[in-house]
Amino acid sequence: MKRLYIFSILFILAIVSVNAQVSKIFEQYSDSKGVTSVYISSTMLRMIPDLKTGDVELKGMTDKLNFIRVLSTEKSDVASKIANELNSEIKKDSYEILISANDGDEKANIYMKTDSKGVNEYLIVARESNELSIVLINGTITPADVQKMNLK
Amino acid sequence: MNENNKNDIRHILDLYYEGKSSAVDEALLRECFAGDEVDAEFADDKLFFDALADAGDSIEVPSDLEHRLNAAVDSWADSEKQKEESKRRFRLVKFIPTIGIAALIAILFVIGSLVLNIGQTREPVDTFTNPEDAYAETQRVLALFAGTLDKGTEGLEIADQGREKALAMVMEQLNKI
Repeated sequence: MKRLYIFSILFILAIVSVNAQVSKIFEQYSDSKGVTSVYISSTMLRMIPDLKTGDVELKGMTDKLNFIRVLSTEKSDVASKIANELNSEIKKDSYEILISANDGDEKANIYMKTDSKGVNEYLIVARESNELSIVLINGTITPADVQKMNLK
Repeated sequence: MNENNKNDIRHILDLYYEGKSSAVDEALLRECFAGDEVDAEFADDKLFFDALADAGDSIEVPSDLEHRLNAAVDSWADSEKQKEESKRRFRLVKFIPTIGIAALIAILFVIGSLVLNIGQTREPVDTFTNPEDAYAETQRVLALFAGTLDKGTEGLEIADQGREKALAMVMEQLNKI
């Protein structure tokens, strides 16, 4: 009987741990002090005005986006905490590193994963001194689409 | 009483005491010894049959005998029912561990479902209430994306150039050999 109890508790813990996702970090810290959180839904993205940036219309890009989430902080202790949690969640959530860029004390990594329906999810982690910015972009947009936009 | 009668009575008495007499024989004996005039040979037998007759006469049937008999039968029936009931309870008791395990699994399933529901992400709310602000933030985010891609690509190009330079130097040295 004791073994059954232990097995059942371990089973529930396993279920809970499997459910862990990167998006949970956004929810967890969105209301934290010193943290700025942004969410733009597909509905809002579809309403973006038809404006041109460079040679590319942003509207064409936003149609390929499902949502955008941003989490940023300038508090070093919060930044470290979020970064540590993020590193473990990235491994669990099957993200693969797309590109890594270092520029002085600014480091930025882009992670990517694709689901069975061909929807891409990009996780941009940018760290500079005490600042941390995490961006989650979900949609059918590709890196080539972004580079064409000439958004420098 | 003549000798033939005595012989018959002796024979029937023998049968009676051996338990082989019929009802007719017993009735005959009772009738024979009912009277006062009995041969001396059968005096003891008469005493015996007189005593039997007295015992039969003195037995009174209680007026509530039927009620008491019915009550006794009912209590026997109740006792049988209780025995059956306890047998049935015993059969159920054997299944209590199995029922307990099944109940535990059901409870764990419900707890697990609740935990999963808690684990599911809530639908977030749009930060901006107008498309213009959303546009500005989207542009900033995509610019960050593009900038990081470009920096990474530049790094690859620099690495490629370095690799090509190193390869050219190696080839030059090899050609000198």
